[in-house]
Amino acid sequence: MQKEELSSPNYEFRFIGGSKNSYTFQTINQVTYEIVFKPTPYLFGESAIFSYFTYEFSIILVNNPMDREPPVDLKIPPTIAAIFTDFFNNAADTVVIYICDSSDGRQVFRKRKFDRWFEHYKYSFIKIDSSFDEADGTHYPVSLILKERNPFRNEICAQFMNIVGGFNQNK
Amino acid sequence: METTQKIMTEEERQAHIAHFLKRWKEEKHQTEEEARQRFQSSEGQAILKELRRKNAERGIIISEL
Repeated sequence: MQKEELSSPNYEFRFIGGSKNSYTFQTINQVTYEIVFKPTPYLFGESAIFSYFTYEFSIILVNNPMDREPPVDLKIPPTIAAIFTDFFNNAADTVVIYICDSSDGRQVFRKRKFDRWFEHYKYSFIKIDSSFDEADGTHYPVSLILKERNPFRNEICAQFMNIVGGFNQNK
Repeated sequence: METTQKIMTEEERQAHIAHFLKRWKEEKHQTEEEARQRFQSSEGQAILKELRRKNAERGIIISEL
């Protein structure tokens, strides 16, 4: 990530809400995104107390009026970071899982991009990296993100390790 | 409420991940479709119009489609 990306002012965004805690913003190229925090209690199983604070984070490209992929936009990473921070500010015990979609074979690209954002905007978050592998060999990089001061931090990390069978932790 | 779970066997782990991914794929499509419908709605367009106005106040000019 280049330095100017860090200092670029973010786009205005709006919390839409709904059952999936949606946020939206639009870029200078009229590309519209939704950032979604979808409740995902089934990750840990509904008996775990922190399941009710567990969300799947996803970035949805809602509309792209360009006839090609949107160009690099230095305002997007700080916008996503601001949304991420806003969501955690409203619920400090939140646990977020990010799954890199593998349907188009670009999961490694998505993972690298997400890692770059996280490295610059991590503040007091911790991130645990691992992967889900399907029986057919499809590989999904996944990251679990929570506040360093999450009161269930140890239990969450232990249960995630139980699910994935091992992890790498970055802070 | 419980905060601990028993250690899963490899078979249980695979089954849990398979179940999770199946549900994730089903809901992912639904979530994307809802977002696109919201974009096309008058409410969604009103939100974007308001955002363009706020961006413009900060010198970020986003033209209308």
